[in-house]
Amino acid sequence: VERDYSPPAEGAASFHTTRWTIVMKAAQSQAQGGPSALAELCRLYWYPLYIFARRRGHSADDAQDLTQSFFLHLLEHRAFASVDRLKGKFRSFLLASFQNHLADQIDRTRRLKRGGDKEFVHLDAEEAEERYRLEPIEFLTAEKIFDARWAMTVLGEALKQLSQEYATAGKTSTFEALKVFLDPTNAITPPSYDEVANRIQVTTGAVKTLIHRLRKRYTALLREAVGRTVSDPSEIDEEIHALCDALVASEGRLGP
Amino acid sequence: MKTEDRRTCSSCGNQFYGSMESCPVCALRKALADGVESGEPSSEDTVTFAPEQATQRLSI
Repeated sequence: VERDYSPPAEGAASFHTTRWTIVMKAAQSQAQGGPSALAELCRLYWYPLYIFARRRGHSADDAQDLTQSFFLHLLEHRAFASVDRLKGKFRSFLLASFQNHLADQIDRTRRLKRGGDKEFVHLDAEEAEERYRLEPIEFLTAEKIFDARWAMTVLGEALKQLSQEYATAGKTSTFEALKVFLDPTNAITPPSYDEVANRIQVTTGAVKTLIHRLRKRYTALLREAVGRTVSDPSEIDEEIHALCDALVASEGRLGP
Repeated sequence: MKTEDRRTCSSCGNQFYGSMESCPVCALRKALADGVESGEPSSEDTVTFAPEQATQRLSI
């Protein structure tokens, strides 16, 4: 049987690799697709903001309202279109802007009808609260939780996208068999190549090739995910270092 | 979370949540190394948003 050992087609929409500054400008100018692309970014990263608000003492309902109204503010407030305001990291920009928003908008948000009259990003508050209850709030500051949760979100997004690429290519079983090899340290003892080869019906040599490609694609997606959150590709390494620091600071207390 | 829910990475010494399949710090550091190998595009992005695809992604 002839088998295709090539990596799955990337098939990502163009905005998936577009830097956040460009997404933000496009959204604020109402360029076609801009608001949708911004919504995608916000959908990915709303939970770190939500947990920040919760850690700052806001109720679950208020945290949800504040997060939602913040995203609406991002889209509607043209002051953010200023280039100077959009330099740097998306993570830093969002947190600083959100802190200002918390200070300025609490009273206004409380006057909003529950759930707001407009929804920019769907927030699953029930799931968020379940996750929040497991967060190590007694050990870490709101800022540390935000940064570490952001890092976990980036990692999770890259892994999810990798899984989706394999699924799109009809290779879900291959991904499931190989994903244990994504761990560069083999913290979990992986099965032998022969076992994997037998499981997915390829040669042992092909397994090695598939693992190499899986790892390469994962790290590429990880860099792409980080690249979307900085204003210049030259900042990717610096941001990855910062995410590493955030995870180390969290002392392994955050789950996936 | 209990202390016993955490594991220590044998490679970098970082502690990570026990149910995770791999050390997140090592995964990020691997991405750093791969960036050195492959390099990154430095040109300005060409923006061609695809709203229908964005909608598809949001529905996942």
